[in-house]
Amino acid sequence: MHSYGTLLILLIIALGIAGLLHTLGTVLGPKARNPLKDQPFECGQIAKRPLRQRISVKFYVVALLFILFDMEVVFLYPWAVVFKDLGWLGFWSMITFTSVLVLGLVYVWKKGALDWE
Amino acid sequence: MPPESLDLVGHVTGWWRLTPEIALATGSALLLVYEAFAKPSNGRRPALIAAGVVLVALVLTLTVPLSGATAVFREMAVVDPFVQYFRVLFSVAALFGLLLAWRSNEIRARTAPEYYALFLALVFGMMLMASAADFIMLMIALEIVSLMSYILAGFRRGHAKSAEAALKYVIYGGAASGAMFFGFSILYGLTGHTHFSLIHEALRAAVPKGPELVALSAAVALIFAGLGYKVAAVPMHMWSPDVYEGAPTPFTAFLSTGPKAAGFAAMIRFFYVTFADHTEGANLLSDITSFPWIYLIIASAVLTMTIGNLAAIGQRNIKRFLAYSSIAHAGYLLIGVAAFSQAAISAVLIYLAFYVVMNLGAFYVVIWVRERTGHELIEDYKGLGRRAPLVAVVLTLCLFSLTGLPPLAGFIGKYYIFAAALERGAEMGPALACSPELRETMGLLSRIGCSIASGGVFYALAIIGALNSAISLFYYARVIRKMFLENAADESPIPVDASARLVLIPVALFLVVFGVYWGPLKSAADRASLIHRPLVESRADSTTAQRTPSSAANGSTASVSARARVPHDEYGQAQVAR
Repeated sequence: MHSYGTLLILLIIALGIAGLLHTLGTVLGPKARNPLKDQPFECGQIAKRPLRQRISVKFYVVALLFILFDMEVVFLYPWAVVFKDLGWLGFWSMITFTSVLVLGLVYVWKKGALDWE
Repeated sequence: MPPESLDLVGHVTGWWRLTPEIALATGSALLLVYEAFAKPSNGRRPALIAAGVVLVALVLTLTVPLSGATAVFREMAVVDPFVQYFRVLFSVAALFGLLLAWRSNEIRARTAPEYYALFLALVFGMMLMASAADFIMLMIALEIVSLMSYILAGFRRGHAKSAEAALKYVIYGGAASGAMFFGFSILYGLTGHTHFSLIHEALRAAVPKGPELVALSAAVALIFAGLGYKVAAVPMHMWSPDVYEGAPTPFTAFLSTGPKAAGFAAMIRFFYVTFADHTEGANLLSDITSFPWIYLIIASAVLTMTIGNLAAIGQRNIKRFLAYSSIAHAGYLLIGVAAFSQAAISAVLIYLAFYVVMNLGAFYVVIWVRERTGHELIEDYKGLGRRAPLVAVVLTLCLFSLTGLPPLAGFIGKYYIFAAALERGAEMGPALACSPELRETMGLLSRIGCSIASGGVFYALAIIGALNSAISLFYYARVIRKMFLENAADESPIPVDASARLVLIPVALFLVVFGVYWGPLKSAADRASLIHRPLVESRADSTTAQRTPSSAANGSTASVSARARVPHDEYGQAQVAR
């Protein structure tokens, strides 16, 4: 089965070793369970309150917008490297691309998504 | 001018052939920003702007000369009569969809601009789906359609059902897209190409055998799962009743027609360009691989028709009822895809055109009734025949047309679909499914398959389709019986306003007229059914019409395709070593 057969064997071996070690640990290891030990591990401290905190929905909007404009920069970097070779066509392509994003920014601004309060 | 080595121009060559798409995308963005700055309106102004944008796209579709068929953007997209047909279909469906949104009270004035902007982006994605000739482009187009659909399905803010619809849709959609892209990646691994026609040539050059055939089967099954999800084919249909019920009704109406048609466009282009043997002028297409993918579609078609129809019988909510009925219609359309001939593509195109009108017509009535009475249960349609005769008659026409009763348009659509299946059944020998390679690799299973793999399976398909139409008559007629034969508690007449008349009467006329005189549509669909296969076409244009890739360097039209085929180094420079 071509070269992928090797991968399959590797997968079986990997799963086998992991499974074997886990089983050995469970079967042979000493078992002394108590409620304290069964709690979620949190840097040694006993958890005093729910570990999951609620975060204001505003953070999500900001994070989303941040990723959006971050991605723009990801596209801008390689473009800037070969800017001279690309010529005017490359220039106008990028202008079109960024102006679409600027339109988005204008919309977001006007809609008040950037206001914290 | 950019240096020749970079060849940026190749990436944008022929961009103006996509002007309808560009108009929609630009219109969508500008509408959003304009409405953010303009005075708040009652929701009517953005609808009018959106309608204007769609009209511009329609006019551009009809006026920009086509000159045969062309590939654009390094042949990632194709503009051919097939795309033109779908552009017109989508524009008409979009205008109808805007009309429904205008009518409905479910789109709040405050969020209306966003609804219409997203709607335009959705139509843009649908058009792109019809013209995608490459996995990457298809992926982008499909995701545009999906993302817009998720948001629009959850557009009734504060409604639990709407939120449920959006969430279910996102989860199903994400899984289906993931499956499809996985399928693409396997196919890419097998052939080394992302372009449909290059994959076709790779498969033809080295017909997959043994383990490769298994990989190909997995890839096609996964890709079909993704596309089948888009058209709500069983077993990828689970999302649709909940989404159709929860989404705002005007969007439900559009979702059950537009994106479904786009899914069929992508499905047809993918299967026909990748697997069909191109013989000039032949009607029935033969498969280049020994892999019986057609049986996958046949199985799905049978399940889709049957489950859609059987589940529709028990529905009480009219939106869910129409959702299951639209699943059943996807089943009939899949018969056309499975029949795999030029006549079958043409039949699917005709069916889609009629289906869009009759389904949107039925939904218009649903929205009208909801607006007037506030109800959307089938129970509430009691006595509608006396309370609002015109509305009831038009709904009856739409439902009879959906059943496929002559002399209405739906009958013509079904007739062509079943005829294509029977034609395929009459022509087909066992060769399609029973190549020796397959017999070796799949053993007993394929021998069982081969015994039913004569043309008989297509006769069976047509008979199952006809039986399902009979089942569908039962539940469509039940709604009609409620309207005309049962009495409501409140028998007061509901006045039909002029604007409703302006929609209902043309819909009724369309269904009746095209049921009797469908010639022009048939010829348009016949033209559109000749799907453009970019690289193969350009090679045929060149003076030395040989079937080897290297000959493509001859002739100016072929040079672009040759460049696309040559591997590029990191700066996009063609490696001319070969």
